[in-house]
Amino acid sequence: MSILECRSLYKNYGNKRVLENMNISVPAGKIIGLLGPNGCGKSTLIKMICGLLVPSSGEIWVDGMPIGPQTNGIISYLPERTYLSNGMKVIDLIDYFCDFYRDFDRKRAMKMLQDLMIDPASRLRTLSKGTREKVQLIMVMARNAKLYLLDEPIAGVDPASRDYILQTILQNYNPEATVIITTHLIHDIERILDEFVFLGFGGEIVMGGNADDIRGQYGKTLDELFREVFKYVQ
Amino acid sequence: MFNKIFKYDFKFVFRLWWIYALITAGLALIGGALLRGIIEFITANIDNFLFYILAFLGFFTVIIGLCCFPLAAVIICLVRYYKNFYSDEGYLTFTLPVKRTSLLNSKILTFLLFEIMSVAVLIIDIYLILVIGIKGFHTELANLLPMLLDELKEIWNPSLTADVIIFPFLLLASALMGINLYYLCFTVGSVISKRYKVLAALGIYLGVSVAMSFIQQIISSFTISNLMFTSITYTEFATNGAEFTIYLGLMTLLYGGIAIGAYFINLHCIKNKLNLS
Repeated sequence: MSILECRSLYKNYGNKRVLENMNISVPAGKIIGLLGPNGCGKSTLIKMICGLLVPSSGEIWVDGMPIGPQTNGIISYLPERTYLSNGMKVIDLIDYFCDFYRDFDRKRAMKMLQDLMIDPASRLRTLSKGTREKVQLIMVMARNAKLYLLDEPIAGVDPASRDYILQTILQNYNPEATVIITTHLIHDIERILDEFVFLGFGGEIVMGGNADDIRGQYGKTLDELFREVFKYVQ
Repeated sequence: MFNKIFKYDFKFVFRLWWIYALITAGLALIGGALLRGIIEFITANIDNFLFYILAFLGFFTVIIGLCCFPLAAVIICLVRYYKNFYSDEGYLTFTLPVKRTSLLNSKILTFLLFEIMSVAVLIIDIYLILVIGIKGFHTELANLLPMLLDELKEIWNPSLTADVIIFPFLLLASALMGINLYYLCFTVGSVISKRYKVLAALGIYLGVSVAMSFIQQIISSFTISNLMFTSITYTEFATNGAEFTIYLGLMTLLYGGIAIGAYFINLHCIKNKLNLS
């Protein structure tokens, strides 16, 4: 059964069409890379799945349900931005997530904080930007969600932090769940992907499938393939 | 989920509000002491210009400080609304498993409660000033109240009964209109502008205020113009107050209508037109 289905999806920003007749079905239990050049609509699609944006037309179904509070309860979303309130303490944040998400694993969150030597009593405003991002990642990955949506999780961070982020994702995600990662930094994430989708402008699915199969078929890495496919687009 | 979201909204506002409430209590004590000093000096015919200047200035500052208190509550609630919905925090708020209606209702209820609580605190503060400032305040009040009640009995008529019934509804409708308009302006400001959301909200609120006062003037010109522009005594006004009752009723309907309209437009925008950065 697919965890996510988009049918005849269109999204316009004024006169500009960002997604055009997108149809996609995402299976459960996979790590999927949603890969495409900047501005191709990756984040727009993710935001529509989370309910932050409303499609101009078309349907999105998550685990057989239309987008709404119920689907938010099974989606764990990591946006590009830090959404944490600086006035809160880390421990308050954990209580907040515990209050709202039934699938939040408090013990796992505390363990991850301990591993990173982040004091739960510290206020978020006293933490560095990088540490706040890590706290946010911990909150997202401490949930036993059915669908993880990670929007550019490694953009703008140093290589060591990238490794930490990818390791955290791999070690903590619910194995029965689906993880969708959007990025254009393919080289760094391709080793963890089961499947991939190359998204062109207008949300056109240029290429997709099993990552290992494609690598075997073309004798190239996804990164090399991406550069070849989008050579003229950039 | 409404309870949980309301708990967090209430806690956020209360965390700052109680500090202001304590400050106003302090101001009320100072104000009472200053008032007592002024009255005692006047009664004793003490001619100390510097004292009078400082005491009046101090008392004036206390009154300004107290008047600002409900405004502080409004600002805290608006900051909460803006940050929670339209700053980056919106990415968390709107991906919680909570209905958008609950998110908005919680903000409205929090605002309304803190408005009521602020007014209650203000009344207590004024009472404190009077009790401290006026010697034998309770005795004077006990003497004054029967006189006021007698006067009220004399002028009482069905129209005044209707006014008394309508007035709480008018206050509620007016408060809800204010809250929903403030929130709507922030929402529309965020929908039309990504960079200058607050500025856009202020501009919209200014426009709405002008339109509102225009409508209000039209209604009053059809209802209470003869009461406003002719010189009549309070008793005449009260005994011929049918126009005033109609005015109160119409204003209650207008404020209530605008509150409901603003609420649904806001809800529509929150559900369909989110424009997070």
